[in-house]
Amino acid sequence: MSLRAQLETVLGGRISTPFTDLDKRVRETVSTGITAFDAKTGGLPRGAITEIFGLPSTGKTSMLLSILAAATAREEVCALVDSGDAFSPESGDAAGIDLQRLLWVRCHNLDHTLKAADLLLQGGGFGVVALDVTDVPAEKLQSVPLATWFRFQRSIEKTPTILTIISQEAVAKTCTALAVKMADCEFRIAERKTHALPSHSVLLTGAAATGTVIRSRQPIESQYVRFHLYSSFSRPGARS
Amino acid sequence: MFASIFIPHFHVQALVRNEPELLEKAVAVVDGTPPILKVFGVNDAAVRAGVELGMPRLKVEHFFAVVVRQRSAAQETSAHAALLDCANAFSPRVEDTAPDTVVIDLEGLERLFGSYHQIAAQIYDQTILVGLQPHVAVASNPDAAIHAARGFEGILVVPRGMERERFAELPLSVLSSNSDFLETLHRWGIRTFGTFAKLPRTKVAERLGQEGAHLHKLSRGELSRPLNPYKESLRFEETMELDHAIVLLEPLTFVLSRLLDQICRRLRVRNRSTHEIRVTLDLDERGATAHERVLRLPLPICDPRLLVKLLMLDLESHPPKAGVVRARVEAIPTRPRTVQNGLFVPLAPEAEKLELTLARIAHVVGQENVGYPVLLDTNRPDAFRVERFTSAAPLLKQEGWREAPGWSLKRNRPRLTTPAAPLAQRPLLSQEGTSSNIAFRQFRPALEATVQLRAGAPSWIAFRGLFGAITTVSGPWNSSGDWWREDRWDREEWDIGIESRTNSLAMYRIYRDCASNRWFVDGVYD
Repeated sequence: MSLRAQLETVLGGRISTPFTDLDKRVRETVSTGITAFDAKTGGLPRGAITEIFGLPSTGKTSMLLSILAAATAREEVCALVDSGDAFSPESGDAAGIDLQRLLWVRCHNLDHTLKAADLLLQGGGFGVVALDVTDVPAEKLQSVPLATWFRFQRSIEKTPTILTIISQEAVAKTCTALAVKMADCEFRIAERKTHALPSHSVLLTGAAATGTVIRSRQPIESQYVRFHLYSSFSRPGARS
Repeated sequence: MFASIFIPHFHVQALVRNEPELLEKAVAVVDGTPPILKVFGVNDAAVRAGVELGMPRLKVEHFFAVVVRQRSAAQETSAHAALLDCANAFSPRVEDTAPDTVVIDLEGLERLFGSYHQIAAQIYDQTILVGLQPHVAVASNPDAAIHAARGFEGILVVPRGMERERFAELPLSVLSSNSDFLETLHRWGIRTFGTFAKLPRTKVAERLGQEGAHLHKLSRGELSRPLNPYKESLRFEETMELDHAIVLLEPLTFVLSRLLDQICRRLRVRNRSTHEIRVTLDLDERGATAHERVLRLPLPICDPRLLVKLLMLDLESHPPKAGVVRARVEAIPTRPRTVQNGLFVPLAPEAEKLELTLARIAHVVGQENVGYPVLLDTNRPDAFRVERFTSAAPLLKQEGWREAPGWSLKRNRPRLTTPAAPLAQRPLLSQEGTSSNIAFRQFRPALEATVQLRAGAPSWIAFRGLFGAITTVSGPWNSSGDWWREDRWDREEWDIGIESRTNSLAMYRIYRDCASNRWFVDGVYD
């Protein structure tokens, strides 16, 4: 009997998979708040990095807000490190985020963003730490050493924290447990004086977003996910 | 029964308390008006070295290995407050007899703390904890307890009726500091309590008057008087006066660390925490006002290491303008935080750890950029304020939370913004999945744009290096408000779609500022 088999026999019952790499273990997953996405991908893995990237107006921020809303609905405390100070609290509230459970860090450069994210991950205890680097130029993002993302991954791998990164291009690459590329968002816009409501009350009525799972460390049902977005930007207090 | 705590060489101990490295050294405390400074207090090691009270400073400085320190009234006040805290930790009936002496009424404490020996031992340990080396004595009346504490080292319990026997060998200097009285008795050859107590009471009264009779009773341990309890005021303040100005923040960390360490010990003794720390740094610059910082904590904290880190992060952001010659730290006491732990408590950062993380992040990005957003009750676009973030637990205690049936706590908060469209108004869901919300990314500040119109609607736009024909347009949405204020707004909003280089459609919200007739891009739908 090999040494490995002997050890497994001795440890059997106490440690189920003593020689299995952490990455190969079955991770707990949580809902993104988007049923279609959860059904096809199994949700977001805890203790890992999830990356959502795509061009402007592809629905990546919508997906992030949905993730934060689902986490705060589970009464978890979340953090959003906002590199471009682009988060709209009104939009977040409309998405269903409990804003009192959301720590919002407004950064104005990439160095501050990475430092703040590092401190939050080291501090621990957050359900979701969202890192929004959408507005950072691609060349600056690509100059971030891969070691930084590995450090982030190591910080959370034995914790229930989910690090979600949104950007225009993939940045964390091999460090991610789930990478989704957003593309081809189809918008529905109310034409003037054709909507049942007053023409000005609803301008953008909805959209259909499509995501492609580029990388996943867990089995997925389908690589392509399509989900709908509706608009809650119905403007109050009309001025005629 | 009464217990007395006496701090020998109080003036020295008050200084050594904040400089523990002097504990084993000979220390002389000098006082007076410069340049005439004389020795005011010494410890045993300094006495052994040959230093005497009243000796000039210049003479003391010739003694090798004797550390000379200037008397600090502020540090003596802090040490005295710490002494009172120790006493109050055991009983609410405490007499503030002298700066170096307190008396505690032990009536009824046996059930809580055990025998008188055990109580005395606990008082001794508690006093050591706040940085003072005490003498503790228990006796049947307050004065006997005071004399026993002043006359005997360590812990002593004098049984009722045994006072005269136990005090027999004590020198008369313990009984009174009146030099005339002591000199008279010295001439009579009376030097101890025992010999003085043997004198006939009436003869002592005839020769020494009422004061002599009173002291005679005290020497026999017979005088019983009621305790004179002091009115307690919870004030936790520590001060350190520095011989040389500290210019850098790093050495100041050690000073503040010692002060906070003492304060936290005192807070723990009184079963208190703090939610506010006030620091006053006197500067080494003529006419300069003291550098004051107030550290408000969202939760009660009694961890000196955490408080030092928070304070230093604050001082790094707001450093003093000159060298520091005196540091004073005051903690506002509050009840300690109680936390109910559980297996199914939702994921949240540890409160103390979160506070440190927030302070570190605030040091990087600025205090105003860290917090949670609160929407304002107005129609003004992008109206919010950032509030200080706390972990979920303190939130539950805040006003506005109520306990709902089924053990869940929900916040009774009116929704200030337009709620998400009712389900009936939402687009029908296809088989492809549940709908979510379209998010909006705000440009702060809004980007100025060049817009061309066709038939009253935007048809071409250029901003931040992007330009092109507008393929989709919806609007306008007119809104205005606060016309009576300088920062009024009056705008005409449009949602527009522009095709990017990759032929994908990007949706933006633009608006025309009606007052200036200029166009801006407010943000992008994503």
